[in-house]
Amino acid sequence: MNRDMLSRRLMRRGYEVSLALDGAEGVARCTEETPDLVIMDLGLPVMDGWEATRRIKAAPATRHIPVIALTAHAMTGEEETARAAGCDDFETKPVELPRLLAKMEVLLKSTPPAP
Amino acid sequence: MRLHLPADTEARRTVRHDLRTPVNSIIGYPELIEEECGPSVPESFRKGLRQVGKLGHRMLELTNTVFGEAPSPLRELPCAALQAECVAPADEALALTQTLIQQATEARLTQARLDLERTALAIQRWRQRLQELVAEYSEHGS
Repeated sequence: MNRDMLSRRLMRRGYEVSLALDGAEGVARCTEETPDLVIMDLGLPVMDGWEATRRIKAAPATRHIPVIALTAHAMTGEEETARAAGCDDFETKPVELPRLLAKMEVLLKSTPPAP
Repeated sequence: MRLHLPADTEARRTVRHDLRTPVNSIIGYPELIEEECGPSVPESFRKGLRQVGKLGHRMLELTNTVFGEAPSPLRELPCAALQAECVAPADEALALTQTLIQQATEARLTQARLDLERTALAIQRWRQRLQELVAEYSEHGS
């Protein structure tokens, strides 16, 4: 439900969105499609978002892709844990769209091109 | 009976996650519907959407206050009063969403109707989970 909503809001703003249903699929899609940016839900089935981020950041072909963690676990220390897994930024649910868009734009502008 | 939250951080994390996830839909879908419908829908419909969003923010505030890390006077309320305080915005949001579903159906706004049905489901989910949690963590609960 939340995935559908966010992807529609991003598409309305001109972003091309590719969806993965779990962390393992997310890692596979990153390898195949090398997107400009990943919004990683941390509470994913099969492989959670922390592990998926670690794998994306460990692979030479995908480590340059910025990852924004997205989670409803809004407790002290969550951001540090996400950053330790390799996330470049962190956002909590409910999503405040202007803030998320600003973070996306900062990362998209500052990311070096793919190797 | 008063609310007695577990000291266990993992349990508190799960509680907040369970409640914040539906709130994401309750706030986000009305915003999305307003974006997608644009100025073609009546102002009363748009006002209704904004009101559901506002109630969603109230539900978020209650989630953060009641199940947050900081002490809260709300947690000192008897469970029945606490539950009533929390359920009121959910009930108001649900009633309003149902009115909007009817309006969207009459206006043949199919996508808006579907999204409002998702919003209603999220409100019901939040309400039910909140009641379960208050029952579970009341001092005399299991």
